[in-house]
Amino acid sequence: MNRNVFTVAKWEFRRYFKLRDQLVGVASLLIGAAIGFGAVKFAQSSNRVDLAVIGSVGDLELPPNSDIHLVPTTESLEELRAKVDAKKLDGVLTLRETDGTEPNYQVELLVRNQPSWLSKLQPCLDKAKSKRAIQNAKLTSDQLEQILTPQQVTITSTTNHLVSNPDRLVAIGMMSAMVLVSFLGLSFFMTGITGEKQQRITEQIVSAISPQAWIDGKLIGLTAASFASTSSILFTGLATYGIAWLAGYGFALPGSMTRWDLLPVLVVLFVGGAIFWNCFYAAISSIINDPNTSARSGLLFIPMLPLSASFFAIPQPDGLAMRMLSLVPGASSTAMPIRLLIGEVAWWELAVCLISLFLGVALLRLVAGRIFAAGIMLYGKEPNWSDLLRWAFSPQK
Amino acid sequence: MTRPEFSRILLRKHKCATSKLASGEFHAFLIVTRGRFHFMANDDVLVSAHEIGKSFLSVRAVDSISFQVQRGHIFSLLGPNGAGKSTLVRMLIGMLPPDQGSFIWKNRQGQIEPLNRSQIGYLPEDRGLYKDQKVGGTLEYFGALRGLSPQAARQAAATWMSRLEIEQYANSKLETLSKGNQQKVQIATAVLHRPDFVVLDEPFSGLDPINQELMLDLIRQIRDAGATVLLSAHQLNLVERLADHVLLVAQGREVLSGSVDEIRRSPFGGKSLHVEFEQTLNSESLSSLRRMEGVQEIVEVHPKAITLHIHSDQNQTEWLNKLDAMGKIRSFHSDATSLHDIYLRVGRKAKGAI
Repeated sequence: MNRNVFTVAKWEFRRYFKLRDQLVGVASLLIGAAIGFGAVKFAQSSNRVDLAVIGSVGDLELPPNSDIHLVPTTESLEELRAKVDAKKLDGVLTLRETDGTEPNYQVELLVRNQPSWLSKLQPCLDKAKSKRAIQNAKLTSDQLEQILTPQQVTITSTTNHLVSNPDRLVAIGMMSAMVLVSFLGLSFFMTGITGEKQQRITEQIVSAISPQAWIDGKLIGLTAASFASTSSILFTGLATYGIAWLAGYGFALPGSMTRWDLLPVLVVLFVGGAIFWNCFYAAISSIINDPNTSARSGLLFIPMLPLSASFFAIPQPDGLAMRMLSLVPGASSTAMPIRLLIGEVAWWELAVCLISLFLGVALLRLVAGRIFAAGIMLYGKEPNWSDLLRWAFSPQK
Repeated sequence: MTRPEFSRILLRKHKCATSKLASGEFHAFLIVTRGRFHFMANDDVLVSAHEIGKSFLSVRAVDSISFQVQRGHIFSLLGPNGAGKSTLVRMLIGMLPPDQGSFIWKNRQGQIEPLNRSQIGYLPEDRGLYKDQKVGGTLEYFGALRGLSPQAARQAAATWMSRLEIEQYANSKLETLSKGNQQKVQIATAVLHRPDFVVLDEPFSGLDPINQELMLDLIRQIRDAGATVLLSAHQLNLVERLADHVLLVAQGREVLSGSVDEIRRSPFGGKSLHVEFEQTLNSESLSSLRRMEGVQEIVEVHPKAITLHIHSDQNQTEWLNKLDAMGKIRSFHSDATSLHDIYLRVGRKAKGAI
């Protein structure tokens, strides 16, 4: 790497990635997560609901670890109402057997306010009702199980490739991370180039090094900074998962999260895609004099369209739309990882994707370098489209 | 003393003349272009500019300007706003390509070599630094960009902060410094790598008189350390004290070129006679004075006092007699026309041309 490129890259990375700030951010989030899970745990531990039951509990069964406790009572309804008002009881459940050809129950609940625990009680009541109905129908326990068991479907894949919903969530998460990297790149380049232009730093730098060396250094430094910042967010997510696990809310990681064999390809796709769009941000930022008034500022959000388009194609990862997106540089950095994780990718598709991405980055770097070289020295009136085209296709002098 | 030999040769390109000088084939060239003469000698020239031109759309910013910068000199580029100075400087240091003409750079051995950015120190007119960054770190960064190793950049940053009396701000963010101290940091970024050629565009702006003097000394020190300085400034009293050579441009064209003394002897220069009369001069006297031969300009300081600019070949005693005949003189003194007055005349002429 050219020495100047390395110097600029190091400077830009340090300007935008402050390790101390990141650590403080991560620590704050982890503390917040720990406090959050702790609070939930505490709230659940203090959620005991005492229900006095008038009448026979009968078939009503609660799960062994349920917060709701049924207390049979012989006290009068008036006495129980007084206890409810005095908050000594959470409620009074009255189960009255009704008259009819088949035995049934009328259920009444006396409470002070709308009970938040009703959703836990309701399934137990439903189950008891079903049980009584089945008993009335005089079914055997085997017949009962047959009725209640859902139809099992055994899926056999010829490619041994089955995708679960958690796998799809992983794919969405990966795409979101890439969009986040791109967003960070946008903000870094906006302040890193338009900001420097406004602060009149450019002329002194360009007198020392070539504009191409400067933009190359910025591309490396700011891309690294956006990945490092995103990584700290991902690290926070994983650490939060760890805390959740410790708090007893753990769940098994989907298989797609442990596909380490895909890691090198994913890294190439992400880094290539980020650099591709960062070239675009650099070129556009260099022609903006003031982001508050420039009509060109909106152009900076163009990359979000191809990057986010993959989201809508996730239900059909190997559909035509997704296959097309995965071959186009700029969109392939989100589409191809999704297909690799939850779809099927032919070797030649991956090859075309990587080659097109490489060529796209090389071409856009060159064009961006030319626009950047002319744009950063231009103050006052912003260039028009014909100026941009002329710069893009004229070699740097 | 040997008698010089003259030869007349036809060269199509300035580069040919420079290479012939560098090779020692010729000692000097007198170049005639469009009726104008340029002398080009094989002395210690750092950079030669020949027929440099640049247009922006329909505006001719620089129009066929030629000059040479001698190694170790302070070369001052002067001219009114919009004269094309900054464009010329940007072309000189390779930031803008000229539409016509060429710059020839030579090393200390007199050999032609391409422009070496790491040997240039540049303080642009439009300047700024990373306001949210620390002073020491910023200086080290610029040193590294100019080719210094990290250790050398750190050392140079410390040296220059001490030299400019801002070492106590090494760990302060630039935005917390006063404007004058920010200007010092800016200058340090341009010279801390000990460049061969230092281009200072308005180095005195934003400095109080004490710091202007400090800057004046600093520029001399840079020159004395072996660097060549190209200075563009509007503080002409300071430029007068510094410049070895002055190039005055207006509307993209060369107007005057030479040492300060040569400029004073030019048609724009001359002598200034400061006269105070006992009584107010009437308009007829002033009109007849304006019509006299050798008068360049008359400036009425107040109703009884005038400053009379005359050509340098005019006799001062004769003028004293002529003025005495017009009215009783209370005080009289004369001096060489200042660069300031010459600059004003050039500026007025340029405006008149518009």
